[in-house]
Amino acid sequence: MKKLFAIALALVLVLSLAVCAQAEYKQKNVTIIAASGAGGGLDTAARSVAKILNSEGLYTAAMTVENRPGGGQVTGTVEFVNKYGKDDYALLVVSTPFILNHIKADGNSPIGPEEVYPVAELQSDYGIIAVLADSPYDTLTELTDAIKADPDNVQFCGGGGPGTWDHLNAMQVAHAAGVDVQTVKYNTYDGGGEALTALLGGHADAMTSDVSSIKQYLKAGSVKVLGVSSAERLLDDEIMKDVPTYTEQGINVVTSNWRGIFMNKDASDEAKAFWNETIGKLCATEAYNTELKNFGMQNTYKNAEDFMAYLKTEEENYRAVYETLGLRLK
Amino acid sequence: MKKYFERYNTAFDRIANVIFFLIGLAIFIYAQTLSSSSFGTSIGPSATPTLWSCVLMICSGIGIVVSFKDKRPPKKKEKPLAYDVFLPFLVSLIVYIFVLEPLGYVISTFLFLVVTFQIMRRGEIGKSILIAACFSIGVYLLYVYVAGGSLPKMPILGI
Amino acid sequence: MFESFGYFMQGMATACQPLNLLFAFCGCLIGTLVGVLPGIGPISGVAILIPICATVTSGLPADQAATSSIILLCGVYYGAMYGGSTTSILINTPGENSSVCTCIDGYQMAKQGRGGPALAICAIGSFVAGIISVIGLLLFAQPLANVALKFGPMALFSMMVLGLTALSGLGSKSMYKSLMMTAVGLILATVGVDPISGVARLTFGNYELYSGIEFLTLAVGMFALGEVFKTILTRDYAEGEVIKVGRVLPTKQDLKDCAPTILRCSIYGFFQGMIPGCGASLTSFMAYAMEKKICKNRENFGKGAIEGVAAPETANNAASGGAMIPLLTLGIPGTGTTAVLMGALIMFNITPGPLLFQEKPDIVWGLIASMLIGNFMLLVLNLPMVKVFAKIIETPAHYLVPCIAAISVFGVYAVQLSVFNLAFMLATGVLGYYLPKHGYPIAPCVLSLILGSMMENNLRRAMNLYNGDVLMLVKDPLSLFFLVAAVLWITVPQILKRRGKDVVVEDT
Repeated sequence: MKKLFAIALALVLVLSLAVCAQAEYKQKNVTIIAASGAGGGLDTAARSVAKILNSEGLYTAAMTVENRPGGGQVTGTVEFVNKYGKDDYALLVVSTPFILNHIKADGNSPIGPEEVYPVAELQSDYGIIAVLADSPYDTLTELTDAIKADPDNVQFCGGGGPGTWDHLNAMQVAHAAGVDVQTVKYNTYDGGGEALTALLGGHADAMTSDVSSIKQYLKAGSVKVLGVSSAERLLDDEIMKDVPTYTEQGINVVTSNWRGIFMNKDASDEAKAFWNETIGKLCATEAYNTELKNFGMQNTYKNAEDFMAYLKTEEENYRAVYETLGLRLK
Repeated sequence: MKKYFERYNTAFDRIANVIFFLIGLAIFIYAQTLSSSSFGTSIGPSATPTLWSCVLMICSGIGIVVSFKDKRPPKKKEKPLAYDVFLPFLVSLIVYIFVLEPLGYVISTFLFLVVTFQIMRRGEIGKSILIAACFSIGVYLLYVYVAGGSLPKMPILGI
Repeated sequence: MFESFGYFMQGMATACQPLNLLFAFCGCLIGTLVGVLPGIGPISGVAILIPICATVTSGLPADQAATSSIILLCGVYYGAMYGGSTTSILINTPGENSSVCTCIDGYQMAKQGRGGPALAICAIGSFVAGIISVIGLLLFAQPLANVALKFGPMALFSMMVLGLTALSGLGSKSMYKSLMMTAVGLILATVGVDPISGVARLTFGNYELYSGIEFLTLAVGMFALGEVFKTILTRDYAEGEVIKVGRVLPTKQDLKDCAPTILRCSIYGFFQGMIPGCGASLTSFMAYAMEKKICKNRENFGKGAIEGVAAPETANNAASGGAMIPLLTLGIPGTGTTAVLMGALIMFNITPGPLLFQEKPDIVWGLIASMLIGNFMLLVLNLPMVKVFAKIIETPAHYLVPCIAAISVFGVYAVQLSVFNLAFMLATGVLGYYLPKHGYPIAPCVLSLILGSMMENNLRRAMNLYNGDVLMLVKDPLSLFFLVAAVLWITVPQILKRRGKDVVVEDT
C-alpha cells in the first residue's frame, strides 16, 4: 500500500511538473504583421502596441513590426496564415476589412474568423457623416430628405470603394433613413485625404469618414459633422461631445471600424493564453489609453472569446447589409 | 516609302503585332463580361478596358497590315547575340527569385552573385566570393539591423 | 506679410540650433541614400524612421522633439528626391517613382562619359527648385491652397488627357508602336480591384493582383533589368573598354543652356505639386514632355541632352515642395509621402489642419526655414558625391551587371515583400529588352500605368458628380484649359511643320 501510494505521489509530482513546464511560454522575438503599408493606420497601431508592451515591461523580448500591404489587407492576411502556420511568435493586426474581404465576391480573401485565432480587439473608430461648414444641411434627416427628393443633387464621397467600411457607413445610414441606396451618388477617392479635399473643394456634398480623421477639421470649423455611428454620444471627447449619434436622429445604425490582433489557429495553447492575458493587461495601461486618445480612437477592448463572438456577429450583419445594398457576396 | 517599310517588316514585328492583336481581342471579350454600370456612375468597370483594347487592336491591326505587306527581308545584318551568357544568367535570376524566401536573403544573394560573376567572366573566384559576400551581408545588415526593414531570414539560424 | 517675415526669422533661429542642424543633416544624408536605392522610396524611408526619431528625441520637451523630428523626416523626403536620380543616370535603374524620366536622357549621358555633369545638374537643378518652392511657400501658401482645392475630378481628368497626348511624343519614331505601348500600359492600369465600383478586373483570383500592378515593379523591371539583359546580350562590355568619366562638373555652357529649363520646370513643378492627387512622378514626366517641345536643344532629347536630365529632376523637387502647401495650410496630404509625414506629425501631437499656422507657428516656420537650409546642405553633400558616384560606372561590367540585378531584386522585394512581384519584374525585364530593340518604346507603357488609373477614376467621378453631363468637360474653366492645351499640343507642331519650321514630330 505504502509503495503504491509513493508511486502515485511521485507520478502526480512528475505530471504536475511536466504540466508546469509545458505551460511556460518563453518570451522570444515576436513579429507583428501589419496588413497595411508603412505609415498606415494598422502600421501605427501595431507599432504603438509593440512600443507599449516593451515600455510597460509586459513583454521583454524584441517585437518587430513588418508591413505586408496590398489588396486592401488581403495580401497581409493570406500571407500571415500561409507563412506563419504554427508559429507561436507571430501576430497579425487587421481591421474591419478582414470580415468584409471574406464575404465579398470581388477581391475575396479565403481567410475568415474561423481560419485564425482572434486574440483581442484593440481599439475602434466610429464613423461619421460630414458636410462643409456652410452647407445647408444641419442634420442627417435633412441630408437624407434631400437625397430622397432629388438624388442627382447630392454627391457623397469617401476614401473607400463600394463594399468597404467607409462606403457601408454612409449607405447603412441612407438605407435606414428610407433612401433607395441604388440612387445614391457615391464617389470613391484614394483614401480619406483625397475625399476630404473633394469635400473642401466643393466637389462633393457629404463625406463618410471616421472620428480620428475628422477631428481636427471639426475643431478648425471647416466641416460640420452631422452624426457619429456610436451607440452613445462621445461625451468625454471635447471636440466630439456635441455631435449627435445616428440613433438619436432616428437612424438605427450603430457601427464601428475595429482593429484587432490575431494569431494563427495552429499556434500552441500556451501562446494563445499568454497573448490573451498580455493584451488584456496592455489595454488597461494608462500609456495605451493616452495613445488612443491622441489618435482619436476608442478603447473597445474585447478578450479572445468576446472578440470571436463579436466577429461572428459582424460577419452575419455585414452579409445582410451587402444583400440589402445589392453588393456581390461570395 | 522604301525606308518606311524597311523598318517594319521584321519577323519580330509580324509576330508581335499578331500577339498584341490577340491580347487586345482577349481583353475586349473579357471586358464584356464585367458589369457595365455601378453605384451611380454611368461609366462602369467595363468601359476603359473595352476602349483601350480597341485602341490596341486598331494599332496592332495597322501594324499587321504594314509588316505583312512588304515581304522583303531587312537589310541590316545583326551582330550575333550572346545567348550563351544570357541564358545561364536568366536561369540564375529565376532560381534566385524562387530560393530567396526559402534560403534567406544572404545565402541566395551570395550564391546568385558568385554564379553570375562567374557566368560573366570565368576566373578570379576569390574576388567573386569576396565581393558577393560583402554585398549580400552588407545590404542585409544595413537594411535589417540599421534601418529596421525586413528581408527573408536564414533557414536554420534565423538571423 | 511682415508678420510672416518675422515668423520666418524666428523659424530660421530655430532651424539653426545645433541639434536641428544635425538632424537636418542626418535627414538629408539618409534621404539621399534612400533615394539612391531603387525600390525604397521616401515613403518607406520616412515611415521606417518615425519610431527611431521618437526614441532619439524622447528626452527632449515635446515641442522641441516634434520640431527636430519633423526636420529630420522632411530632410529624408526631399533628400530622396535628390538621390533618386543617381541610379537612374548611372545604371538606368529608377531610384524611385519620379526618377523614371531621368533615366531616359541621364543614362545616355552616362554612356557618353558625361555621367558627372548629369549628376551635378540634378543637384543644381534640385537646389534651385528647392529654393523657389520655399519662396513660393513663404509668399503664396494660403491663397494657393484655396486654388489647389478648385481642381476637381473634371480638371484632373483633362490634365491626364494632356499627359496622355504628351506621352505620345516619348520614345519611338513610330506613332502606331508608341500608341500600342500606351494602350498596353493603360490596360495594365486596369488590373486590380476597381476602386470606383469595387469590381475585380483582370485579377484571375490572384490576391497579389488585387491592388493592381505596382508602378515601381514595372519601371525597375523594364528599365533596369531590360538594360541588364541588353548589356549581356550585346556584349557591351566584352571589349574591356570602360567608359572613362571625364569632367565631373558641368561646363559653363551647360549651365547656361540649362538655366531656362531649370527656371521653367521649378515653377511648373511647384504649381503642379500643389494639386492634391497629382504626385511627383506625373509632374516630372510632364515637365520632361514640356521641355521636349519647347526647349532649344530638343532634337537631342533621348540621346543625352542635359536639359532632359535637368527638367524632370527640377520638377520633382519643386513638386515635393509644392506638396507641402496643402499639408501645412489645410492638413491635406496631396501625395503618399506627405500622408506619411502627416502621420508623423500626428504622432508628435501636431495635428496639421487649418489651424496649424495659428497654433504652432514656431514649428511650422522652423520647418520651412529648415527646408531652405536643407537644400543648401544637400547641394553641399551631393556635389562632391558626384565624383564618387560617377566612378561607379567605371566598375568592370562583369561585376556591375549582376550587382544591378541584385539591387533591383532587393529594391522591389524590400517594398513589395512578394516573390510574385519579383517574377513579374523579371518577365517585364525580358520584354524591356526585346520590345525597345524592335522599336516598341517602353517609356509610354510605364508612364501610362500611372496615368491610366488617375484618368479613368477622375472621369468616372466627374460623370457621377455631374450626372453624366459630358459638356462639363468644357464648362469647367480649368478642365477646358487643359483640354485646349492637349489639342494645341498635337496640332501646333503639325501646323508649324507645314510651314517648314523645325519641329520634333513623329511620323507613322
